[in-house]
Amino acid sequence: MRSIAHLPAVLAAALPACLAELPPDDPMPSGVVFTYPIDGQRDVPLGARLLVSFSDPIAAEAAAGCRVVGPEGNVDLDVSVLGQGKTLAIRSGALEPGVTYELRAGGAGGEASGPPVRFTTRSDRPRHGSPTLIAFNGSDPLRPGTQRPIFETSTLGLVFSEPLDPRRVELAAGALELYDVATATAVPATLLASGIHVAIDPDEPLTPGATYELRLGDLLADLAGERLAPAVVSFTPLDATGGRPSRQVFRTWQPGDTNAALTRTDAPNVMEVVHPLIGETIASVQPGVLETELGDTLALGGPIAFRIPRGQRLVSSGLAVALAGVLPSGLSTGDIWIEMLTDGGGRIHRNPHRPADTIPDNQHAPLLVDLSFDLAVYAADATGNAVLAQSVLGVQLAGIASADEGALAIETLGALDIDLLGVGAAPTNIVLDLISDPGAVAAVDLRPPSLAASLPAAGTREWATDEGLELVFDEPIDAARARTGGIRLLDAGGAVVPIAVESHGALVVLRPRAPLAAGRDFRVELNDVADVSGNAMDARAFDVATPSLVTTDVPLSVAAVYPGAPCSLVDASATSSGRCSGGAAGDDRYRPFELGALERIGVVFDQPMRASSLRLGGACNTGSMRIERVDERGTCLEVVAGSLLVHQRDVGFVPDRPWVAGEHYQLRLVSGGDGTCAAGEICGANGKPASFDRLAGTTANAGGGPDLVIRFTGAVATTATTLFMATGPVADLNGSGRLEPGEPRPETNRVALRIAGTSGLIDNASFTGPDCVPATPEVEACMYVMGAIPAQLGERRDDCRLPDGSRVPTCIPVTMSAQAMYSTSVAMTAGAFGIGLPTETGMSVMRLREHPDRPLEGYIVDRGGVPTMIVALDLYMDAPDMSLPLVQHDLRSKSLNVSLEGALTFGPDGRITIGLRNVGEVPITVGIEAPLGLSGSVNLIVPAGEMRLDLVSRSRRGRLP
Amino acid sequence: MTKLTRLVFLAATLLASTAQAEPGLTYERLYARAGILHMSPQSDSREIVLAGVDGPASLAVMAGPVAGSGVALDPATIPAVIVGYVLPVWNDRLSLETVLSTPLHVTFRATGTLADMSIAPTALGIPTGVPALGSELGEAEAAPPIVTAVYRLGRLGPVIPYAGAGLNVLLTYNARATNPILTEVDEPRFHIDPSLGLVLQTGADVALWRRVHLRADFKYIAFMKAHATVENLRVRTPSIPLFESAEVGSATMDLWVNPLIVQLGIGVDL
Repeated sequence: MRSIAHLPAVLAAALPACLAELPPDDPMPSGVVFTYPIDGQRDVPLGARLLVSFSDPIAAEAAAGCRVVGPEGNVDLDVSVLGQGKTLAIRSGALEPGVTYELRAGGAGGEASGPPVRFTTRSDRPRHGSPTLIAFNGSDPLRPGTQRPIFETSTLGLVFSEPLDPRRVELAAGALELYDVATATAVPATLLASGIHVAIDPDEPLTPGATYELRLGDLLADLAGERLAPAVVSFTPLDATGGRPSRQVFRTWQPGDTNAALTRTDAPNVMEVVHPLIGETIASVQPGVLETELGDTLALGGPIAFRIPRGQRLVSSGLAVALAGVLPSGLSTGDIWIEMLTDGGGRIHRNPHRPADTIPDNQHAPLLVDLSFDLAVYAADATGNAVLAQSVLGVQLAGIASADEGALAIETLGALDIDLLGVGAAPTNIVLDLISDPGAVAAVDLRPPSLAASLPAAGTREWATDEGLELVFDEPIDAARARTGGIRLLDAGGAVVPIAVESHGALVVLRPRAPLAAGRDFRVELNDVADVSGNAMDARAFDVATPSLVTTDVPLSVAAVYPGAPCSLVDASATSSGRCSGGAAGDDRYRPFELGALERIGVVFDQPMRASSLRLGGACNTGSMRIERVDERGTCLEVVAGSLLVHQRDVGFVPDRPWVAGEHYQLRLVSGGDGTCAAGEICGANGKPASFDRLAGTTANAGGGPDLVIRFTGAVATTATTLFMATGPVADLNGSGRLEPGEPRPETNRVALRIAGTSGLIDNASFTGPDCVPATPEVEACMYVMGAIPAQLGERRDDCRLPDGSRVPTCIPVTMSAQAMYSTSVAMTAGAFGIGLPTETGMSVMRLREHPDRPLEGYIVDRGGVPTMIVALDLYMDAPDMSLPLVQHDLRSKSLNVSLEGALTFGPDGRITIGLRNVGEVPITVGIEAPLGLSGSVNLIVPAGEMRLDLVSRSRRGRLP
Repeated sequence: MTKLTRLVFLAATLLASTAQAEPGLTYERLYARAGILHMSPQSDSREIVLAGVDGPASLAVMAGPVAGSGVALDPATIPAVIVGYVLPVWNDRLSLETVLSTPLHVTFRATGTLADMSIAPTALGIPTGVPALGSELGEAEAAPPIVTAVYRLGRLGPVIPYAGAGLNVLLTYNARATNPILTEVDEPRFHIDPSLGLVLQTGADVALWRRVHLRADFKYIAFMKAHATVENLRVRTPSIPLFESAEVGSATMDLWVNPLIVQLGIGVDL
């Protein structure tokens, strides 16, 4: 009986055994779930941080197996672990432009495993030969849509093999055309171009299934004028929306939101700028909202397209710009705004690192996102905006999409190149985390743009004839609207001057399609300027003019040559590059010249040149400008292939391949042997052949003479930032060595000379020109100075010893190339016994001297929160054309010492200015020797602060690269 | 389990053969009434509660109660035997009874919005293509051991009315989801916790001939709440092939079963 009584309990105990749990599913093995770049990606920024992310925190174990393999084998890597142990961050300074690499992700055991990810680095340097289209929406132009599908809503992103001449990039037959084959019409679109990138954003969605052609004509050309071979890319956009796009609202991910596990790096929503000039700076993306459209979920059979309509903005915290990361820069960007210049877009798709039939899950097979867009970057602070404003085209991010707790979170990662302070491109790693939030509301822009500044400034006569005019707005404007009459350039007669309207973030460049004439007046009309939201600013206009160029017969010469010195050299030896021809035999010898692997050759002329006279040699010993690889004796071995970038007053040469460390090279500028301009010689716009031995004379008959020959050795790439600073504004625009009527008389870039006394034979001296510093009781005569100094800003240095012997905790060394400055003639009368001898100094040449054992260095230091440059210059002063009847002067290789100091500032146009002033009085004694052993001197001084040199960086956007 | 049931029945029979009836009511110690058992659940369910809704499914489904949803059990009729043992107390008026039967096949039906509407109609506002589940939900075999104490109220001629009370445990096994939408992608795990109920019983034996009796028995099982869980729910998302399917997590159902059991049988006192 007891058995029956216990029956229920027995049953209760026995039955659960029949309900045994099913065995758990086999867990998916740990592995790679994400990489940046993605497989097949082109145009990957060189300094990009590569990422490999795993499903589980096994990155540390996998690090040893991580490889980046290029044509020369494994590349040196710096690998670190991020993202709670899930992600490997890979940096390398050894990647080369335009090269395809394989990224092999490491396995958990440290071995290399999995299929490699192939990617090709960005090559944005000019190259010899015609430009070619190398990517069309991320794909091979011969196979459009294979790497990244083209949808009816896509912005068409083009990448060329080298930068294009922006004057030639337009939507027009023969240049660029998006052509609808069915209707035989061009498709209206907004065009953006910057360097190697072009973006074409159709005004209306394309017709899915229809055939379109991207027609590229030979009006497109590179910066050296080499034309593109006409080509047609035919493509058919896919139907991604089915006509039913689904509006989705995303906002930036904030702490406390779901999907924290999504984070694949150590910090969400950041932009990390890394550059030796400013160190490592991080900006945080602030809360913001983006409205997007998701495509039809069925249209692509799985992947879902999405679009981010243009005009939307995100804001990030300002960049703390500290030079070398430690010295105050004096620049405040304020908040940094990022605006979608074109419709961004991409797709969400299954994880390609897992078998194709793997159902997505957040950890082991997360959905992947590829996103491409074009950005305007600009800043809230007016000066910061002028410095920072730029368009960043062709941004390609990759990311992970994770759905959880009712929200879709997307983390996209990648890199872009930010033009930094106008002097360099800084790799910027970006992490953008968004999360769906139907309740979020995007800010509505109701404020019209306003014009903050222009370069050149309104009302000035400083518009360089071969440069564009920069208009600095406080927000990006609708470029298409500006092009269709919104902004016009009129000449003095009211005729419209053809211009290209370029968008550079919140800045617009009006670039005349042909060089302007000198001494002309222009009117800039802003008739219909609005932002993308349609907010229009009030119409306005202003006048600006190109400077007058007084005719001169003084031959062209060089103000700066990099690498090298601005003169024909003699007495070179194995240990020195020689000295300037025409100088004293005892002059310092220049140290051997070197050029870093990635540097370009630069030559700055002192007056406009005849562009057609500059011919790059195609074979050894040919051309008026020869850049050759040579042996130790200087015999040409081969011509260095590259691009010649000719401007009105300067020329640059970019080699196709980096200079090879230890190899010998030679730059030769041919001047011709006589005073006539012949073929194969470099001539000025005045038709006179160049003169490269200014110390032998600067007058009209000085043309021709010895070539300028610079031998240099290739050197390894450095992290220094090369900056071409030139005096500005310039008084002696025509380089005649004289200040002529019509030429400006700026308060800077001049040296005020005061007569302090005489001695010996000379008993009186006075200037015969006007007093250029009326504020002083004395009479001063001004020499107006023109020059250019290539300088390299190095990495921070601690415990710096300054020229006066003092020390500062930190400085930035500035290595200055030993160039020359030319100054205008000063007229004076000096005499004896009551007899005055009038004379003019003629053009003076002030050569910078190097130390025998080290380069000339200046220092940027912190002076009470102001970045200040300090430099002690040893100079040779020459007045080659100064002559006095029956007497000799000693202004030949006359040694001067001057200590200069001045603040580094950023102007409202974004350019850097270093305003150097002499900190102490500079004595200049002009000795005069007469026959019969009679001698005397005129004792001049440059009062403290009266040597005023404003060195200005080049216009960053208005000037062609 | 059929073997188990037969074993139990055999054991009861053997035990009954040793028993002696109480003279007062002419019962033997052991008795059995074989017949038909009809169980009619008086189902009253709470809303189905989804849990563990992670990943893509969370875009379409929120964890928590599904508004308007419900679950019900279908009635069932099976052959069953009441086996009783008369305790030698209170003049043999008190006995202990249990019910032996073939396993009870329990069918769970979806009701309300669970049956009529898609549980994941849209994700981020985009139709998923997940259809309504329909009424079919799942099924299980149940062994509901019942033990009651029965007190005979007296004899009214051939009729011996009684009343009783006891306990019931609902034990299920072989539970499985049968909904075609829920089983299209994967095999969900269906689990029903054992649940206890208070049995209220009444009825009457009618003496037919010598020790042969007709039994009409009514039981109401109160406070029986079935807690069922369906895990590994994964549904196909035909309108979003990117996902192909979405793992909804698990669903829990709390169901007041409270069945009314009517049993008619005929048997003998042994």
